[in-house]
Amino acid sequence: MDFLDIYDRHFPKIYNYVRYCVKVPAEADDVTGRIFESALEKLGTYNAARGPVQVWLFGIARNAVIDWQRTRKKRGEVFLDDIPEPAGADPRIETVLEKKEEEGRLLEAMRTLDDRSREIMALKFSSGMTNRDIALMTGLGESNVGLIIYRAVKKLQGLLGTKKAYE
Amino acid sequence: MNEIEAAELFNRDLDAFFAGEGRGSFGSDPEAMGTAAKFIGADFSAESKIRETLREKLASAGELKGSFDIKSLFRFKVYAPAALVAACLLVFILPMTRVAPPRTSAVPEKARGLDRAVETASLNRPVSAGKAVRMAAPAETSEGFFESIPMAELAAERLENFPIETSSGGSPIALVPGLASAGSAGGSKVVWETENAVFTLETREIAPEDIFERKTL
Repeated sequence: MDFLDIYDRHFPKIYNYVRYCVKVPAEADDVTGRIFESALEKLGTYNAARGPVQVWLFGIARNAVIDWQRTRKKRGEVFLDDIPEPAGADPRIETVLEKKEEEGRLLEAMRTLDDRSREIMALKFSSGMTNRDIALMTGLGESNVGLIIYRAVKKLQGLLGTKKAYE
Repeated sequence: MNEIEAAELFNRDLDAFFAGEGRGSFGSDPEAMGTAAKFIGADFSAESKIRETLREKLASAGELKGSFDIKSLFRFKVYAPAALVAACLLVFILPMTRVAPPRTSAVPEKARGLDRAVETASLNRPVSAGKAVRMAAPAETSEGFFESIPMAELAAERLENFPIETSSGGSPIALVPGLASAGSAGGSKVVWETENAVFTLETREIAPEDIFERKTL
């Protein structure tokens, strides 16, 4: 199994997952780096009979994010980005970087969810894993995972005011 | 339709979306699916500053790992059998590598001094009349520092006379005439006499009060 193939195929998914959980991009880079280094180290322990590479990789990613959150809480760190911006931020950014703004809105909306919902939504939307795989990974029931996803999506829908964006 | 049923339908549609089946056929909740589609379509990886450098780093680390990975030696799967084999080899090889200490008559001075001291003490010890004590023959071979110390053989001939001498020359201990064997209350007793004292050996039943004093608070 070529590790670089795994890296190329899964980097965006893993990064997106981390980005949903870690607010600062530099921190997200750091955590993503740790995930792939750990995956390379543990590559010999991967057993295809136990599940696809993606599930194994997201298991490592989940642990890395949990470790990062724990360390951050222990240190009592508060990033400047964590402090909510006052209303009426620089309007030029909104006009110039529409895509950036849209991504920012999605991230901000995602951060309004509680930790558990955000984690499950991040796993689902980044990886596309089945609810059963997510349930096995998180220790929750499969139907409970489905319900959490549905409620979270409804909440995000209310926040973003989305209307048939897939069309 | 309650929330659980709605959630089931939504998740079914979501899995179909991930599987790339019929994007426009979301009958359950198109608005919720629209929101989900936005998140699914979002890609933040372009903002990563380490994607290429991390790839290079992992590639070189992977090459090193392929050539020789010292850490893999310490993984349990590898380490445990290797440790077992090493232990077995040690058990078999160690006895073969043992070298016998050189045979020498030069017993350390300290040990020889001890040897002589014991020998002298044995010779100076008073021996009872008629008692023959034979010295054990010292070991002919002496190897290493720790050497057996010859000791007197524990053997003696039968005693002909009672070993305690008396001033009067008579029997040193005798039964008291008349009281030698008499009954006592609830038992029997034997009275012995020496030159200096009379001893009574008796058996009888006693009550705790005969030995202990009962005190009442």
